Amino acid sequence: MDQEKFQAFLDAVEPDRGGTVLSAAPIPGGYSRDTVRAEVEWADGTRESFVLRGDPPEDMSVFRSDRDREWALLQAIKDLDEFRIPRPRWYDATGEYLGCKCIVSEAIESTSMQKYLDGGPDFDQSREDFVSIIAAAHATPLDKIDPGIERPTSWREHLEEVIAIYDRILESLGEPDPILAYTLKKIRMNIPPEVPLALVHGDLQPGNFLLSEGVEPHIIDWEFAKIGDPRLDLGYYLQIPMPPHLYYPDPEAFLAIYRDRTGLTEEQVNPDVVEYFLLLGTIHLMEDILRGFEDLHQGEHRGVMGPFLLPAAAHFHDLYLNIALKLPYATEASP
Amino acid sequence: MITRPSTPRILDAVCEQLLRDVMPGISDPAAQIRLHMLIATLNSAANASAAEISLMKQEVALYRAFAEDVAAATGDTAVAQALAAAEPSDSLLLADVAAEYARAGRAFTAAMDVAMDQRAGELIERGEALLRLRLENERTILSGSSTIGRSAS
Repeated sequence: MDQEKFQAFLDAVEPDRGGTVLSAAPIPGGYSRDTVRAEVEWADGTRESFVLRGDPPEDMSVFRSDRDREWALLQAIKDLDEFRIPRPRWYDATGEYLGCKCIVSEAIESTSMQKYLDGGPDFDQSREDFVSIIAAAHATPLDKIDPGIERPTSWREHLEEVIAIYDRILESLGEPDPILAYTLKKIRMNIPPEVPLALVHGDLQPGNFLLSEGVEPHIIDWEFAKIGDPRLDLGYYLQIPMPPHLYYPDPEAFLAIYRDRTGLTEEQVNPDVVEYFLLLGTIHLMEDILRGFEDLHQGEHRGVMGPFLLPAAAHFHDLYLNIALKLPYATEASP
Repeated sequence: MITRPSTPRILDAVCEQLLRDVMPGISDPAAQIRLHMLIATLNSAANASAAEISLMKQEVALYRAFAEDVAAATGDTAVAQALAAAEPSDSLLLADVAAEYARAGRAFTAAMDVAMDQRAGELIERGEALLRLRLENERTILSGSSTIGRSAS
């Protein structure tokens, strides 16, 4: 995804506009995808900035997601009124030009909400803004999303698909994981009340909200998005440690805003249920991390991330066990 | 065999040198981040090398004792079979201890499953205490900084 390759790609997708790639520089820090920011000048003198998101080589990565699926989802949500995303412009679906499957979107001149929070703005207002953005995405009517986007036939089927990730991990690991086995059993004993399916982001945190003056916030990084239980996003956010955390000082206040915006009830959304959904909303990451460890054990390479994520797995074990220990004993639900 | 410096100390010294001598010469921010990640990984490896065999051996004995008690209390054949497959080993080679730890972990998991199914209060309490111990040991071994919290993408 360098300057020369992006130039060749632009020449192919916009042959009549005479674009010149002025620069293309990697954006460091991403865990999952390789990201590059590029500046382009068109023949008419106008300039545009783009963000390129591509797959790293398999032996340099741990987290797995599907670019075809992400591109299809971005196409399905790019014109929704409920929230905004940076406009997806082109997709190198085969990697023919950019060296890997790569999505090119318009870059937004903005600051991330995480960076904004670092500056110490009014906490209550920030929490309300954050929850409102989440709720707006979750409130998107599903009939406005292209029916080609995969959706579960029922909430229960969807929940089972997520829970099945635990089964898959336990079956495929080369060693036992008593903490995950215990957590899974407690999950099955405490199936929460049903809610309507919604658009789930999958990596919801202030770092993925872009703010700019006079413009509605943009939500980025949709690689783990799907149609599912919206509480997966709430549970996922609980494990984000960057301060200021908008949930923990007052979970009830956070969830009251969410319930008000979405119409969900206190039985459906409360601190216990949201903790339960941490167990489900993060397990896809744990699956990738543990698979990476197994690959390393087998002598394969997963880049720096492979061994670096060992403390992350321990951290998830810690979260999972402490939540599971609090869950009451009840009859296990059948898969 | 030379035991001074110990393996953890050697790895600590490597980390110090990487930070002090190598890092300042790197200007590429992406390479700096990768080097920080590698140093954190070496720190974890230093912790592990100091204690992992001893901690695994400690857990193996506790898992076996727990599984024996569950098998005796419930007569469950799956637990008895898992226990039979988890014969202790005298070897202190890391690969052998890790394999022994995995076998004992399977017996423990099977036993905990049965204890939970039968709502065996006292056994559940013991099993949960073992899970806490496992977690505590894992954290001791991997006491590098947590990597959770940055975007996965």
